[in-house]
Amino acid sequence: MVLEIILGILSGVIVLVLLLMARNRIIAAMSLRNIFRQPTNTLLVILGSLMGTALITGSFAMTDSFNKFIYAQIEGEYGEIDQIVYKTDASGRQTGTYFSLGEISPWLETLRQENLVDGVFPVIRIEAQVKAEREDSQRTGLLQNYLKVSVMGVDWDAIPSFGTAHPVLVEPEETDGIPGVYLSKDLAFLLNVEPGDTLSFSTNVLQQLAFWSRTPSVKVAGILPEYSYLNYQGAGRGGMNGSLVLPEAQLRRLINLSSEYETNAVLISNRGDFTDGVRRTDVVVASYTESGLSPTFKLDTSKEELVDVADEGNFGLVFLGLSAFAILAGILLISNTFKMLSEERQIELATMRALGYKRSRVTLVMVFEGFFYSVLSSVIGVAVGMLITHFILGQFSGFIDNIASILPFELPIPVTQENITFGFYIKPISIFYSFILGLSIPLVVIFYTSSRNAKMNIVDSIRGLPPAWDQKAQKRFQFLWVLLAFVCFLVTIQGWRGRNELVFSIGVFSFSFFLALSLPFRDKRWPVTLACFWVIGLSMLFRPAYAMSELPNPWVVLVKGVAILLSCILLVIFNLKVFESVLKSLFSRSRLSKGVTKIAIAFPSKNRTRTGLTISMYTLVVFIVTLISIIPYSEEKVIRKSRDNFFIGNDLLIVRSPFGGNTAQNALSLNEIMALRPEVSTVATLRSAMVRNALTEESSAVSFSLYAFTKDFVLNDAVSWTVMPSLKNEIRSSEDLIAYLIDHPGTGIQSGYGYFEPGEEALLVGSTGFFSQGGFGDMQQMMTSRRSVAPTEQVPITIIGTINENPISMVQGVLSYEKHVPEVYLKNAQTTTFASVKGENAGEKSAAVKTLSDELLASGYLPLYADDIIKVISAMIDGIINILRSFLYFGMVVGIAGIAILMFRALYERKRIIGMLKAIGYTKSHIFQSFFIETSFIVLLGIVLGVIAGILTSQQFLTVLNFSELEIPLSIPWGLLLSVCAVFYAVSLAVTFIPSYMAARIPPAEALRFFE
Amino acid sequence: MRCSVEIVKVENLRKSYRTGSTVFEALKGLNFSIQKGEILSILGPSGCGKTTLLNCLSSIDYPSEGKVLIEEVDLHALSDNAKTLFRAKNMGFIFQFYNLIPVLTVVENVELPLFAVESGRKNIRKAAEEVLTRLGLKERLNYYPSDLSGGERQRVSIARALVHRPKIIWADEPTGALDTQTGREIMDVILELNEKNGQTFVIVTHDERIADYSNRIVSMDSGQIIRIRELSPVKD
Repeated sequence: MVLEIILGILSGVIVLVLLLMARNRIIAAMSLRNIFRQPTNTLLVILGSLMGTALITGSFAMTDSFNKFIYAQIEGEYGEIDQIVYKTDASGRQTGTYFSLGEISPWLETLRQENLVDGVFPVIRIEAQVKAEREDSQRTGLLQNYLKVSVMGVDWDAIPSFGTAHPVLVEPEETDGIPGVYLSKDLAFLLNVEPGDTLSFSTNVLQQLAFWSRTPSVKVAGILPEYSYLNYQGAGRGGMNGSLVLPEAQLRRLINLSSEYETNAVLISNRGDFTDGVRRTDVVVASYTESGLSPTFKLDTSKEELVDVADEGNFGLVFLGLSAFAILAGILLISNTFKMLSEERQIELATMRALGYKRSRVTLVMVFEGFFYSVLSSVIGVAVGMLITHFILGQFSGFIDNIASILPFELPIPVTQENITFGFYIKPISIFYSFILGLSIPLVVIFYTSSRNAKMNIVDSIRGLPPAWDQKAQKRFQFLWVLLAFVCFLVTIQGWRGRNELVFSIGVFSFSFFLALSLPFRDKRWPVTLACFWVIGLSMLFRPAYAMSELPNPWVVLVKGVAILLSCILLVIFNLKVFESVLKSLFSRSRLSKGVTKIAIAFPSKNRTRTGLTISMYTLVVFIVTLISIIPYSEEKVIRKSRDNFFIGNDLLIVRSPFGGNTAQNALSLNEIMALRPEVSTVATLRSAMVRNALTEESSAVSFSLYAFTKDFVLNDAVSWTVMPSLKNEIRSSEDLIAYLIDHPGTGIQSGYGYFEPGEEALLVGSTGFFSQGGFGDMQQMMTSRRSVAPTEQVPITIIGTINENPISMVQGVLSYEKHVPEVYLKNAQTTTFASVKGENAGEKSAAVKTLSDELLASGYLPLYADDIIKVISAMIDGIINILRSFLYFGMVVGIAGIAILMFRALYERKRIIGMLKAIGYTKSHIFQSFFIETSFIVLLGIVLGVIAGILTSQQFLTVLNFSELEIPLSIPWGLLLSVCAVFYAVSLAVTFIPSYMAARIPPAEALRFFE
Repeated sequence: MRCSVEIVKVENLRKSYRTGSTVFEALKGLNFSIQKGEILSILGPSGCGKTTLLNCLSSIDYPSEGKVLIEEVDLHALSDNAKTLFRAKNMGFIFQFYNLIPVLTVVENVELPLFAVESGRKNIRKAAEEVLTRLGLKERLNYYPSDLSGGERQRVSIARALVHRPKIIWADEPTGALDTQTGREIMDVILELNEKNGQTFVIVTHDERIADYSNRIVSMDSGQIIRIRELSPVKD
């Protein structure tokens, strides 16, 4: 709906402009000729507008690409399937019960009528097992028997009509009674088969065991496209190794399924693509609830849950925030460019007024000219933005290879660049929005500034004087600031009383700025300055009391970041004179001519708006670069420091490998291997089980992991720990700590982040049957199985302290001596082995790990080395951050374009002044230097502001992380920041070389004759 | 106050412009001299070459042929930087449209020539204020050019031309943008300064009433000197 409105308005504006051109031909002719009058100026205007539009487009593209990246796994699993309808058995379990489509068709029709869906696809979905029939197939070391797969029988002709992607696949043929099937890519890789190969297909174990009879076969007809919904394997994949799709009729014959069993799963695609569609799930669920379908039907919305989990990481929000800032920089550049263009035409417009043209017609001169520029630059800008983003993302196609190369073993699953790396993607709507912004911003700026010019006194305009103090306009603005201040005051009160920190923050910051502007002083410098300091202080130091105990909201942090940034920019813009004085006194001691310095700094100081816009562009870009440099650097530093906490002071975590190994009967056990290896220094074995604690404030018991250690358990000295004050004298070392736990039944020590305070007591009353997720929960979860332990004797346990309070640790729970824990609790415990290797330094340890790993892998064990974990994490962080940073370097080009346009404009405006200066004795070198100093003044101010605002805001973001998980102190990568800023500054100077050189070379006589 | 010593000597000065295939001769072999301390007017109608002559004499433009000798120094034999430095030390300029820097205050505009040549000199501010006070602009020191009347701006321009005590002051239509009364006031100022300081003034004008303020008038037409007229005797 919004799209249609915008399209309508846009079309209306274009038609209106064209009609006005037809009715005002002389004005249109003037506008058109102005474009070609000064080619350099025209080029600069188009360049400025184009770069701004390109950055806006690039921002949208990066956000879309990133969202596609973080949702890639979801897309790979679900494609455009947003919900699945299935029928349960009497006990409510999903068992593939068949039903007739007619049972749910009234509800499906409702969905269609309400335009909520773009695909409804009934399928037959079963689980089966397949095995390649070629002797040399299937990868060595992997499961050599049948692989469990998800099978879908579909109406082949209806495949393209589901969703918006419209995949087209050639229908596989049945040859000699052997059905043709499509395999998912991962399944084909595991089976090591290609189109043309044959698979054994069975739906039950008996078929496999009945070696005297031949199991049915299927023939591989092709490989499914990677992000197609046909790869669907059920929620969470359920242990499937891939998917297999074939025509419904062929499947029915294969499994002898009568046609009376119509379907057992109906796939539903909501209107929109794979992310937009899932946003409609709530509405679909509401419709389903109201439909009154039999309770035996269930609606699977697990895709929405996965999307919510992905969104929880707030990466999308971070990207959106960064993109918003970049878009703002683009808008500033466009605004500045067209504002200067309007100023250039001031005398012409005044002359036309003098000749008798009305204000509205005079305004059209600029509107028509702006229209030509904006149409051209927005079209090219969108294309350039897409190309540049595509190029930037293309540089990181090796991202996943770099990560895979770090791991000490070959990944057995096909990790393709397409499904892991950042691929370029932009939604059509984003292209449209970019074009709209690129087109409309110039027109708005032009309209506003030319209207203002048209209202000016004619004589003043012809003389090129600035607009006189317009009391009426000032009063109108005054009223507006007062009104806005009042509204924001109400918002602040509402936020405070409603205990909504976000609303409060927006209200109080906005109120501060508007209050300063509404005060009845002509010179707003002092009120604005005080307001800026107030806002910065408030952002850094204050949170409402009611919010102190809650997690900081990331949106609040974003608002604070914007407030800090805006304050820094306004502080400088309103105090340019102060900087001017400081610089003048600094330069008074230098050999550089004071006159040159004075001129160089006076011009930008006097033209506050133009200078402010240029400084803001630089500040914005550097602000973002600083943010995305500091936050991951700080995180990475903490992760590196936490290295010893990963495996409670050990170097390795060893688990049974899912990739196979030596399964011979006489194969050594892990303990035997470790005992024999000379590289091994210590071995620690923990048996872990999930237990329930009855002594909680909750109505039901709270679960946590219990880790039972053996008598020879050694806690590495590198691990930090604390104990209750009463035990501090008795327990002075790690050895003392373990000895205490062994000697005192009913004691334990917490490891990792959170459940207990030292001295707190727990009462163990049984097991929940799951294992917790540690710092690398997925790895553990892969190894665990669901086993329940019946309630048994209650065990009181006192938590005497905490080992490394750190959410990254693999061991998150309570450690206790195994003899103090009833064996029934540990009956089905998971055994995890940690080990340390010998070595004086990282190089020696690494070599030892390599040798040990080779032996362990061959024996069917998977060693994870703490240093490798860090490398992988660092590589992932660096990879994504480098992509972001590259895009923002593109944003720097916008700033550089801005300063180039500004200085070319200065050259044009100051020609006569330059002639005068040369006449009275200023050399070419002086003129050249003045331009350079002016550029330096503006650029350096922008860069320094951006760094300061970025550091302050980073502190805010790290506070969010501090509160929720790991304490992350602020660490600033000075080397990186300074080098980026230095390059930015150097390139900015380089582009102003040309206008500076041209200014220096202007013959004074020619310059003095020059009239704009 | 004029004496018989020559400060500027012009020998066979020519200036041509080429536009396409046409060559236009703006100055056609001029020969004359300027005495130290005199007020010389170059009078002529629009387009006769007076501003071109002024530009060539003041070294901000170069002639096609001929010489300009200022105190025996062949001006156009100097390098560009040397010329600039020569101008900074020895010449002042008054322009028709003032050419004040809009973003500098009155006193800062007047300081500019001093910074060009003597950046290490102390009391630059004091020197500028003195000159402005002498020209009746003491109350306007911290104003910007846009806040001043035409006459006041031209006085600032004169102050800028005098502050570094140059030997010669070139004035291109100094009253051209002013009303008659103000123009007379400006010429009175120039006259007074000439009498007090003994500086040489060369004024380009199309207005005979302005030219009547000078000691000599060089009348030009179509790039040539048609007449040189004395208005006051030389002081021995």
